[in-house]
Amino acid sequence: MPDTITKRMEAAAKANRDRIAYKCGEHAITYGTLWDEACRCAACIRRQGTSPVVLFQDKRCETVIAMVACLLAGRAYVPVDVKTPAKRVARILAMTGAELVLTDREIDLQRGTVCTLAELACLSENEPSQPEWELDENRIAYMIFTSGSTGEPKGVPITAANLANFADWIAGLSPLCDYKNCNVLNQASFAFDLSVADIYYALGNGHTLVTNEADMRTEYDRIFEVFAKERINVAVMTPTCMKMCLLNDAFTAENFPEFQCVYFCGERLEKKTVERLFRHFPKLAVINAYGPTEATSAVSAVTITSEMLAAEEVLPVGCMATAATEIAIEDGEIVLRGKSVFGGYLGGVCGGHFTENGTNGYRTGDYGEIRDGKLYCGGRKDGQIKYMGYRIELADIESNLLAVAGVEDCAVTVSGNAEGAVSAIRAFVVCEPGGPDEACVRAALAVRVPAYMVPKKISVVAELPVNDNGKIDRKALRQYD
Amino acid sequence: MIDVRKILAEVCDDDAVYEEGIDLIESGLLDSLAFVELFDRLEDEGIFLQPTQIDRSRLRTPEGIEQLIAEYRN
Repeated sequence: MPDTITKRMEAAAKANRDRIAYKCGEHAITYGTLWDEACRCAACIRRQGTSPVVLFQDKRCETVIAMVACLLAGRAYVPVDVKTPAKRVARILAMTGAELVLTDREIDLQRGTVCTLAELACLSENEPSQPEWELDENRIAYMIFTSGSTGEPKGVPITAANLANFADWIAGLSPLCDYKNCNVLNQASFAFDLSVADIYYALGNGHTLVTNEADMRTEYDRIFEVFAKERINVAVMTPTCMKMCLLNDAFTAENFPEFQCVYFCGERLEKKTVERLFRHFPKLAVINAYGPTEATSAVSAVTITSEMLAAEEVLPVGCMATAATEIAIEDGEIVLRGKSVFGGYLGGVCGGHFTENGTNGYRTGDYGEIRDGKLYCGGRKDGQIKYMGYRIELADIESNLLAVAGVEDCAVTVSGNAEGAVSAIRAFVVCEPGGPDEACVRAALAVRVPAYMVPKKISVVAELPVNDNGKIDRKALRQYD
Repeated sequence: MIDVRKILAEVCDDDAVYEEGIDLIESGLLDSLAFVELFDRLEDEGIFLQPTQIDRSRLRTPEGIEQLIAEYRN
């Protein structure tokens, strides 16, 4: 029996059978095919077991079919970016206890099945059928791994109820709720929950989800190409990605009249970026959204207007009246409660989650304020940063540096620009005599953490400056240059 | 006169840009964020370059960028 989220997706599929649901490069799939294939695969996935299912693939159509199939099968899917270093993938496999990995790559799995979705499904030539089993709203729909300060990635399990709440919220968000038959751009990796916004907005409402395999950090022109080729109406992206697109003078309303709305989330949206965006697209609807992975992608959003640009020093990140879940400010910190909030980290890892009268709560670690019905987000209470939209715990990088042979001590800091965005990550490393040089440290770190977590500059120093309390003096580190 | 090296040092956040024979792209100094910052800064100085129409290899050295600015001015 379908539950809330699968009912939404089924309704969208049935009303739009012949429309393209998903397109990646030259490959496309209609809603009819997506739904039928997902139903057919759901039975095999369910028969195979009950553990979470790791999806270790690029953005091919099969990956999206697998996500929907897992929802229908009642098994959590765990998207893992193909660029993740093998060591980190192994940790994720161990932590989730996954006994099914859908991939086209070589993976070491102690117990279970490693295959492509096609290989799994060809065991069943059944006609697609609705799941006849019960789907529990409190089951885990997906698990996203995020940077953990101990050096181990942290698993964030999101329930079907959490996801349904988010999907309903984004479907009802103005002006997204007014659009029909749109081409929606996905930019983020499926391993980042920014993608939850475009996937469930598009597939939950009969739009076409469009993406490509561009590596945003190095292939910035490729995102622009997708805009050009696919006539995007709604884009879901990080502000950094938009900055890249705006480098192109041809990216204007004249050349792209169908581009109506952008939904930003994942990092601070700078006024400068919106000002520039309005020069290129004066009538564009700009939505700035906010929310941690622990509260299902986003909990609040606000439309940014030119009046706001004039009136505000810092852009708001939400309109309290249209929040997805309960938002409060406690001791200057944004605290979330309610239907979007997860039930705690995988493995019971501590930090932020709490329960109150049977409701889930999460202390975000973000400083915030509410003024005139709008939510504003200040800095972090801790060492967590956003770099190009990626969430990173500086201590995650530090822990992994300390694990490199020959490294005795380290400190990781960031350089920022005027509006508070992180422009680069730096590391200062103390090595034992005869120990590794900068290049060796860099290479050793790169097999442990994703590329975006490898600091732009790594300096091997004789010692780390320490302040009167015996703690690393991060301000003094800046003087090392 | 625009001090290209000074702007580069600021946007790449590294004095390594002053080194003889530095390759800004090979070295990773001019990454995508620095790239955006660089063009923003040049715009502040009245130089409106079209980054997507410039061959990346012309951005490898401070001299290469100075050359681009000189061409823009003519």
